[in-house]
Amino acid sequence: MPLVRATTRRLAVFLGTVLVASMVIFLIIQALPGDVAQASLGMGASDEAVEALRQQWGLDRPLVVRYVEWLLGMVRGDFGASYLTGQSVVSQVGPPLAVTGWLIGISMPASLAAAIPMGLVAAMLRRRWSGALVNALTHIGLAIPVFFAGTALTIVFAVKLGWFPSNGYVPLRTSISSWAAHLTLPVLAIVVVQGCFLARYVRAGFIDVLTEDYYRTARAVGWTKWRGMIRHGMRNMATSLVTVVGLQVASMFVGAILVEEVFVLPGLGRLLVNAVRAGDLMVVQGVAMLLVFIVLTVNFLVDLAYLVIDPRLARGDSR
Amino acid sequence: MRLPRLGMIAAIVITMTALLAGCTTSTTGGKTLTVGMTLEPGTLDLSVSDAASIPQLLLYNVYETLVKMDSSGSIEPLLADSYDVSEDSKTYTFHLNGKAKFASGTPVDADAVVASIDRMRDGTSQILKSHMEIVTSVTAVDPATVTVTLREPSNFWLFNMTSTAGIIVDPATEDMATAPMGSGPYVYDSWVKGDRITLKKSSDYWGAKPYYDTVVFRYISDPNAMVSAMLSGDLDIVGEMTSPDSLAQFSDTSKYTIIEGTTNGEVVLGFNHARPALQDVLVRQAICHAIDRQGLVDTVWGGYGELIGTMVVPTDPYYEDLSQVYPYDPDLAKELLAKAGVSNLTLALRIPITPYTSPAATFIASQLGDIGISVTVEELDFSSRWLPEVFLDGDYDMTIVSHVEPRDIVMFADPGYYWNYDNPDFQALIRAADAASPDNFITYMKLAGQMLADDAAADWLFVFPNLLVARAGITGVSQNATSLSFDLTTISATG
Repeated sequence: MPLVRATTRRLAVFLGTVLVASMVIFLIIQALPGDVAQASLGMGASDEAVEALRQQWGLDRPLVVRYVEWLLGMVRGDFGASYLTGQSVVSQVGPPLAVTGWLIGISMPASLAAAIPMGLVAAMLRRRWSGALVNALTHIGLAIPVFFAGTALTIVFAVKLGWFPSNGYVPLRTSISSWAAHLTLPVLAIVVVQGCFLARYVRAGFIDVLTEDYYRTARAVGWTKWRGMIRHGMRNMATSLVTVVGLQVASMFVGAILVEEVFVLPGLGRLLVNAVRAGDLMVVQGVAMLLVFIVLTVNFLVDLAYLVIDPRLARGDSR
Repeated sequence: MRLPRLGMIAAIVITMTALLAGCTTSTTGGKTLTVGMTLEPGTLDLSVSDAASIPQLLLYNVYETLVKMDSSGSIEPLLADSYDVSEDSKTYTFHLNGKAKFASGTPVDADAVVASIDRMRDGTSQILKSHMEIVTSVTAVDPATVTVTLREPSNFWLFNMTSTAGIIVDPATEDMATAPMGSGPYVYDSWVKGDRITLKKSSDYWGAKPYYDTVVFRYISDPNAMVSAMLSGDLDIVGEMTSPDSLAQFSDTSKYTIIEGTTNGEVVLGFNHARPALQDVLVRQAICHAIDRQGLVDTVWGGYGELIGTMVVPTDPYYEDLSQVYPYDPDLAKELLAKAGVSNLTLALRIPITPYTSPAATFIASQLGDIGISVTVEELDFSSRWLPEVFLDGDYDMTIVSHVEPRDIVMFADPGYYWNYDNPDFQALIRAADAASPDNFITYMKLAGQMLADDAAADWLFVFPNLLVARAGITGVSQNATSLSFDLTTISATG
């Protein structure tokens, strides 16, 4: 059972990291300047009123007590409640998580679907003009900042052509067509940039395969270039691609804020930025924790994916 | 092996397309108005929060008041047909119109009004507290009559009752934060946090029916996103144009109407009167003479925005043009500084980060540099730094912020307010105005405005313009933002 043991070890590392991350987040939030009670009462609040509110929210209690309370609450699925609105953090995070989840859940597979054929062509035909052209295009796409891609797409497809709404969001259960229409341009904006980014890795991965012994063997026994590459090269190329995809998915949960700003999508990034602006530290803390959890989960899954793609790793682990 | 797989994909694609097409018709029917606003409320509970975005959405649309402020700034009847004021000006008797009903069907009777005023008196918002602390009792005389007794006569109180302090809440309301219930022409429908709030026409409104069946407030803080949403047809009205430079894109009058008016937002260059250098009126006057305010408006806000000379806006009934009390004159400014015996003055200009304060601060620092005052500009995050450090602790020499509350000239009568402006004559004048007869009120308020100007208690840079863009054919959008409400009751469309 080498796979099980390797998985268990990685799970332990995963949980330890989550715990350390929660401490770091909590301490950083506590160290921030500004007082949430003051921010909540706004211009014109008396010192007594601010102090009373601090007591009501339990902000006058020791740091350790508040940390343990927060941690135990999260284990039970209770991330606390916003100081400003009194709503539970979980209920506030749910809808934005769905928005960002859809955004990334659709645009990452779409980016991969675009990147693999582009990278394959760019690698196989790299000495011909068509391969060089694809390669050049990926360079250009990579150089475009995602908010620029978003703005350009908005101007062309929303303002000039009027095919899609320029921004905003409609939940899936309200209207499927409207939901899809609102997500199309944001997804395209990500695919343009991510697709080109990943295509560079795919190309490099396939070029490595070209020099491998097993590829030469496949060619020697009469396989065509393309068949040899797709049947044997794909799995080998996948190991390095999975690493990059994992990193990209994780960073996009945070980086999606740019796309969310351009398209006014009520996602996690905007929730975080607005909570920071409002000084709603309980929400900031909860969202930061959730993001860390997502990033670590993705890393964990990537680790597991290695074990599946390359069974040699699991055997190595068990030694 | 290959063909079935392709067939499978084709089948999925066709099914998805059919699904999407099928759903297109499921959008709501009737006439819909979509309005773009910049700031989304955090809560809808007016009794705990002073955020202007809440009355912008709810006042006069979902909640109604006994008396209402119209777009010219005068007080009109709404839920009360009329009101009487007692001889000593301390007791107001409101005669309810008897027709009004809440959207839930309950009549707006004296008991409901008393319960609502008491609810507002118990509110925790700072503005409500200051507006309602003067009320000593509220009584239902009969089902159509309510009397309110004040501790002392107050002209400001009736004015405040046209705004958030005076909203009449349905007694059945359970949670004002998530389910506001009033007697207005619209009812609260739904909220997609971070994107939009939807209001629906009240099925049985007691007054004139509004034109639109559904009104959507979209919250778009980014000016570019706002402009593209309007250009692409997603919005019918840009309710707040925060990038005056973009107005040129809406110059085609066959498609758009640009609406330009005034607001209650005075952009104030505030002086900290606790600082010795700024206690000298000559220094303050020198600063006022050194700043070319028209040039500043042109630079900072595309030339939109009227000049004022005191804490009074053009829609206030006691307005008079004082914008030329301190004309731009750097030489005179230098003379005044010399007369005050001040040289090598350094002032800290600590501002909150907003689209208008940053360019204004740069402009002012440069112009004060011309008369020999060196200004250090520091930009602070509003809630985490400016509020605690500048506003509450008074750690600043000068600052810039817009004061959006109506009739906020009274704040200069509070020596504990962040300007530390303690002028007993001015305080006496405001007290006298509050207690005076309506005619004398105007006279006293004019004097108060002049006193602030003569004393250069601050430098009033300009009044924020009310800049809106509406799709051509939409009418009845209020030109001046005299109240905190984005009043939907008058808006309709032709063609």
